[in-house]
Amino acid sequence: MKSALLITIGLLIITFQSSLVNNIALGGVKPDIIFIFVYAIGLIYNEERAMLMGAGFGLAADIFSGGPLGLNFLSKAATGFAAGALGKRILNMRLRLQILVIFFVTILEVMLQMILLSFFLKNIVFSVGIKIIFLQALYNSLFTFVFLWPLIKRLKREREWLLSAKESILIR
Amino acid sequence: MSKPRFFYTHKKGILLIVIILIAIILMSPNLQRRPRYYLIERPIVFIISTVQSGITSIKDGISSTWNGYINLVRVQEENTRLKKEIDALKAENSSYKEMALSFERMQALLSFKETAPFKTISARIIGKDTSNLFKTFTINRGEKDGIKKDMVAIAPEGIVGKVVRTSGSSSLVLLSIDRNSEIAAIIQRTRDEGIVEGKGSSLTHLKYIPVLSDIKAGDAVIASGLDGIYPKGLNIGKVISVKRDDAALFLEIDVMPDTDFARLEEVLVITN
Repeated sequence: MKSALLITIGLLIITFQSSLVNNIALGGVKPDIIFIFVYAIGLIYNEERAMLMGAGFGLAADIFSGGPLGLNFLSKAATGFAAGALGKRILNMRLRLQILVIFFVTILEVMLQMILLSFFLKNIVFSVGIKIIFLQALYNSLFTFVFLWPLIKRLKREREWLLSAKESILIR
Repeated sequence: MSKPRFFYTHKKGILLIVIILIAIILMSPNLQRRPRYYLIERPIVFIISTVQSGITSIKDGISSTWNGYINLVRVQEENTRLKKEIDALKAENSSYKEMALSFERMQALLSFKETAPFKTISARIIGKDTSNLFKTFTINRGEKDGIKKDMVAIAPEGIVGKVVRTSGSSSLVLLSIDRNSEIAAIIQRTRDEGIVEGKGSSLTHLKYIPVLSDIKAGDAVIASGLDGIYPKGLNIGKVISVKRDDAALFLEIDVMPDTDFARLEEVLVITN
């Protein structure tokens, strides 16, 4: 049931990514809301589920893109893995640091895409790529902050509650 | 007994390896060159393109209402006494304006369609590329409408791109500004031949023009037809900068496409 809901939301997000999100593009670069969704799955669930969902949504995004099939499949799976493994560990850290992590995860994701692309395109222009990488990382960080901050706060509270419950059991 | 335990303890690693293996298979050249969406892709394409069409229609409705609203606010500021009357008139006017603009666009497309020396079919843009690295449009016409791979999409201003993948009721159009796009071109004035290649930004790059050519900024670049895809004479764009390096064999030329891809809503696909 949960997976079916996640898949439905994911497909809707892919539709939004290819339609409405174009209206908020800055300098020709738009935020990657599929990335934000996969990152959120990584925070809520575990690496495995985030990786699988990331791969699935990445493949669906590839179908609607002019890029090579498998590009988003692999990079979104990697994002899911990074979010599950890293995102949860830094939940207790300061907000600034969390935004910085999202910024770097985005950079890593787009860099992975550029590296994979260099196998397919003979004339890949890295200067254009660098502009896209930084603008997208900035835009993603801002969007992730706005949309995921309530989720991060809730997860943080839950973790603190769990830790205190654990401590009280140990004291008894 | 030991096998499930092995899988359980190495679940993450196994999953990672499986994903990498699938990615390698997906990236194989045969799969990249597919002209049509595979059977497995079609349900996803159908669901998403149907929702895209719906969203595009809703978006148009909302933008028309929003324009009406903006006009209403302005009228309120101008004259509160005639507020109600002007509100209604402005809202009506705005919807008429939207209709007129749409009509104008369609008329331009239609007159171009009538005068164009080829058979065309009009299509609506229902989606854009999901990634920032590529420039593609999804249009609401597919195999059912006779669309095939390599058919050329045009606008009254010039070339838009070519169809790279089709499904039953939608197709993916690779824009001329995408890095994967190459068009055999000719400079209208000097008759020098070259290849226009997308740069991934709003510009394109004209390659293989000899350093001795007399090309200048403002020269029109048109399709030469030598690639067998884009018909000869279609507008591509205007030269905006020419860099000469005496040590190089060819000029460095940037071309601004005639088509405004950011504002494009409808295209014509050449079907013959």
